[in-house]
Amino acid sequence: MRKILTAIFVIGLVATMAGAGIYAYFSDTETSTGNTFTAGTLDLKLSGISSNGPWSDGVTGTWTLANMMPGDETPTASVYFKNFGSVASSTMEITCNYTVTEETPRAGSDTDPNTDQHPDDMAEHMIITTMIYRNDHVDINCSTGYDSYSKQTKDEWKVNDANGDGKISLYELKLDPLVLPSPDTQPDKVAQLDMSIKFDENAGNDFQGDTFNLTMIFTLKQ
Amino acid sequence: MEHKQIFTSALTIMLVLSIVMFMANQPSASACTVSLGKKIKFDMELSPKVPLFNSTKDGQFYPGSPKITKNLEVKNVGDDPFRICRFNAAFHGNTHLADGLQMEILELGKGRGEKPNLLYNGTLSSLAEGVEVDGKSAVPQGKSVTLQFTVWMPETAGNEYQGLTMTADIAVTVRFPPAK
Repeated sequence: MRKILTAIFVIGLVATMAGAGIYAYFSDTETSTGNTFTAGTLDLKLSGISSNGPWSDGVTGTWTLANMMPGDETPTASVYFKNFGSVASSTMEITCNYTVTEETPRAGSDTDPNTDQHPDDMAEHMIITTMIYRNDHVDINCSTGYDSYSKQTKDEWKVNDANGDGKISLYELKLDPLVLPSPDTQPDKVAQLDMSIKFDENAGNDFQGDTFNLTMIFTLKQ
Repeated sequence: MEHKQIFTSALTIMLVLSIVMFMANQPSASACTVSLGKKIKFDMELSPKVPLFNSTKDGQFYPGSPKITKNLEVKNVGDDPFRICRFNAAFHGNTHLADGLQMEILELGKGRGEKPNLLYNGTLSSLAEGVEVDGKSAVPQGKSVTLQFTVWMPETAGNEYQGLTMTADIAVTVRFPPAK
């Protein structure tokens, strides 16, 4: 008997809940169709040739020194920038990253066979001797942060000499990225970076045979 | 015999309980009117009938870009008052963009000084599942209520949304009767 009663209650409860669940108010729905939303783009392209291109997403081999010795310096080479995106940027950040490859087989005169594990040591000896960011409307010396066109100086336009040795190294550029006016802020929308790098005269035997692989990183920001 | 009486009692109790619950859920006035045979038209119209948002005209979104605001008028062209009760949306194209866009929907006041009623504030993508809202105004026959849609991309949005384009169909549902 108890089973019968339980079954009846369960059936009744389920029926009641189902009745309540399917209940709905009258309603009407209309739709606004075809609304379009598009996100813009920032698309920085580089040229290692000229301010007229050809443009690509990256360039290689802009600064090279083969068999470099302390005191050797690259020629001043240029990279050109242009935003091909649909949204204007306000600044461009310039920084770098690097690795060191040890020679194989190891040279006996290389007093540090593990420079690849602490590449910052070699980067401190890669000295930026020229670093000018410019176009027809801006001419910033990134060693001093001075723009000879606007006669302004800004800290964010220069690489800080963190160790105070009077030289600007790639290590210091990595520590303190430059924040420069974007090419978009210029009337012709193109800018260029002129840079040369010297292997420090004071570099020791630790770096003999080592290869310094430099990646310059340019980032457009809104 | 005793079993039969118990069974009958239990059945009666459940029947009465079911009827009471059903009656308690009944909307009062208008639906009853229908049951009496009087024909009542429930209907609404949206204006404008063209898409509210058009990226060609409105421009493109980017983190921190200006908010885009559009008004949608919901007019009661039926015989009975209604109230806004639900929004939902369907997306086409690069639907991931809906995660990166925020939408606010306000029910604007009728007169100057009347505060708008916030109906929804969240990601556009959350509208895909539909959201129940409490419209403030009971909109009578021949009158309308204005919904203000604002869309923006927050400053925190990342590069994952660059260059995406999508289309959204935004549905508005009203209920009769308008009682909350």
